Amino acid sequence: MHGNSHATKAATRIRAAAATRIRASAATRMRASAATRMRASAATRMRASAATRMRASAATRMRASAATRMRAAAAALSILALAACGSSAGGSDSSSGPILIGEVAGTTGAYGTTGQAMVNGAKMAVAYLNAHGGIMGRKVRLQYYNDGASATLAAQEFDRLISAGAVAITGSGDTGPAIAAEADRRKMPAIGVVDDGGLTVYPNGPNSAPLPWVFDLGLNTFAWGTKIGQYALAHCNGLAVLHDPTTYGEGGLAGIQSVYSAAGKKLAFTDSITENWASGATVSLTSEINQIKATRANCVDVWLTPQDQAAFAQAAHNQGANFTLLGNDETDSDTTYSSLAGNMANGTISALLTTEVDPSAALKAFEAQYQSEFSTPATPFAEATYDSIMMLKQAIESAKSTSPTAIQNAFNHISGFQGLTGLLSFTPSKHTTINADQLTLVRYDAATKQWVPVG
Amino acid sequence: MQILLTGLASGAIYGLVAMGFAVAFYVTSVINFAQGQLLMAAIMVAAGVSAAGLPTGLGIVAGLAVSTLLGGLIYVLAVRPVLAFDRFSFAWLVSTLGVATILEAGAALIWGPTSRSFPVMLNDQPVRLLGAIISLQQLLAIVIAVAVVVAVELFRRRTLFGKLGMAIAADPEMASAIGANTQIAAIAAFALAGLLAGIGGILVGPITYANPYLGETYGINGFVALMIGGIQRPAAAMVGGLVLGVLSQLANTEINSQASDWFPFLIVVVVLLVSPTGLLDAARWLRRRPA
Repeated sequence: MHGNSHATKAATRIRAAAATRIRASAATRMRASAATRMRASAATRMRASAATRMRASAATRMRASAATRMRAAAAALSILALAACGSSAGGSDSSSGPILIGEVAGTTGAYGTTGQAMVNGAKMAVAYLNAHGGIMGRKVRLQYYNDGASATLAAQEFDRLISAGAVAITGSGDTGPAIAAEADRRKMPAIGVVDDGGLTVYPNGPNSAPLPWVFDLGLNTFAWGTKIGQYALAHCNGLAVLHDPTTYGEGGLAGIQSVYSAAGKKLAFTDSITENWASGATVSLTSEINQIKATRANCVDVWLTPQDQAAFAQAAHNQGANFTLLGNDETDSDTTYSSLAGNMANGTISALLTTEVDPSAALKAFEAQYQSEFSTPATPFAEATYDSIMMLKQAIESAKSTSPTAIQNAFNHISGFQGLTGLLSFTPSKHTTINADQLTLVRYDAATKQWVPVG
Repeated sequence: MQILLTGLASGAIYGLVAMGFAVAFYVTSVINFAQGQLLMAAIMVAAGVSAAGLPTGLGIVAGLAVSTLLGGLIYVLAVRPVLAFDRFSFAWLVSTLGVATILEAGAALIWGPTSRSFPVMLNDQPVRLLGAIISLQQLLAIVIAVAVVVAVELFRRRTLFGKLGMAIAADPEMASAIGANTQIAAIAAFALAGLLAGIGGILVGPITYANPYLGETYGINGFVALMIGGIQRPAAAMVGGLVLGVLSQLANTEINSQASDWFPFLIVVVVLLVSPTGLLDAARWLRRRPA
């Protein structure tokens, strides 16, 4: 999932235009003001003021002004820098010192809860490892940054972590393509929740080769799209899909379309919706709702942020549309969608990892500890990140090395790893761990506020 | 009609933010780049009060009070000091941007960085109007936007304080020389700008929910609306907002959903080329042209 940079660029242009206009306006006003002051020579204050200003040549003013600007700019840059960086524990890598694991996660914005869960999962994994001998007897340290759903920031943070000596990077959920590109460029393993797999890992489609340095343990969009597509094919008279234009939304669409194409059917309506993940603002979908109504499709998969899914549910109700709403892997991963949509979420169909529906003893223990430590329920993103670090330990120990190539090779041959999210494997041609067979369809019941398996 | 009404509803919010920009600029020649964050502050406070189990009305009042207070404080803490040092510097540009970042970070610290629910208010009550369907909340936004424009214009033209603002806008030195307290007027202008943003926030909260980073989106769109309508008059800024809302909705429907992202900026470029001081000035110029 990459961040939306259009708004930032546009804002810069607008601010520049504004500054130009304001300078022009101020100059005009200054000239007019000075002229007025010159004419109103009787007023002592004005005479003094105008004369002083005239004499206080541009040089003096510019010196003071430049100093002010530099100080203000420095202060603002400091503030911005502080805001951009998440908490971190600095450190470096050596053959005997602690092993550094890097993490990039969007802990703010539309998918902020996902990023927070990823960081929490990583913290729990690192704490567990250090309490149980570390990796090859070496302590493990975690250094993480918030990318704020910005692809630019994510790439910078990836490089920063690698420079600090990280042996692998876990994440990011928001900016997977940027992380994948950096992993490929720097020949460093990117593991864990990398934009929920899908097209981020297989850029040329589900049947193509994966990116060699990306090992995704997240909630694979291909798997969710396939599962939701199978439900829609069996239960809907027509399916519309609204999706974001990133690899996240396109990955979900690819999964759904694979099912429909195999059945020789077509989707009733598709549209790509640009969202602002950094600000979490919702988009107006009234136009799309009316277009979908015209197709007579009775099901809509809103493959957008939980905020936009909730806004869609409300707007569809207001427009008198009686759609069956279908979701994505984020819809039921935490309570964001269900709490925002309230009763409008009733009947929404999505899918959960079967391990979530019928948790193992290990997962129950993890969930209890997570709740205890962070005062919020664990999510699959926390579990997947936890699994990724545990799997990294196995890879390093089997390779007996922290070199990137050794770790990559070890990941390519991990088989039957018992993780919280299931029995996980990688091969050189398979770099995602979750497939549609590992999912269970669920329906939201607003009365009990629970996702219950579809009978 | 659906496009028009939906566009007017979203444009009304942009317009309220833009009016806030204009009111502050009108009196102080300063653009408050934390204007969008004042909208966010009203939303977050109202949502927080409601989440605490208190009445929605109390949350609305608290939200408006906080955005108004913050507006005034921004002038006192972030604008006045830099203007006092050098009245002609543009350090306020950086200082107000810094305030925007601080407000966002502060809200995220207090309420968490993710979206929270907001009272539904009238957003679950659809109303059919001239063949289109909008929610009562959207209709309320349009009505309140019109009422606010009328109120601000009456205040500006008919009250002593409003006329004082006009005098300060025309020539602050002269106004000061004849005894006007320009500092009080500037604080009041920033507070009024905060109130306008807060009203926008309360009206849009049920649609966007409460998120500490919302200010960026509405700040940018409000600024675009200001550029379209014109920077000198609050009513023109509202017109800019309404034009922006309707054209964005039109682009969304007739081109594609992504057009609503770039189309507003295309409008701004065209407006700046045709009439650098805003659409209304262009209309005035056209009226003055000899036949």
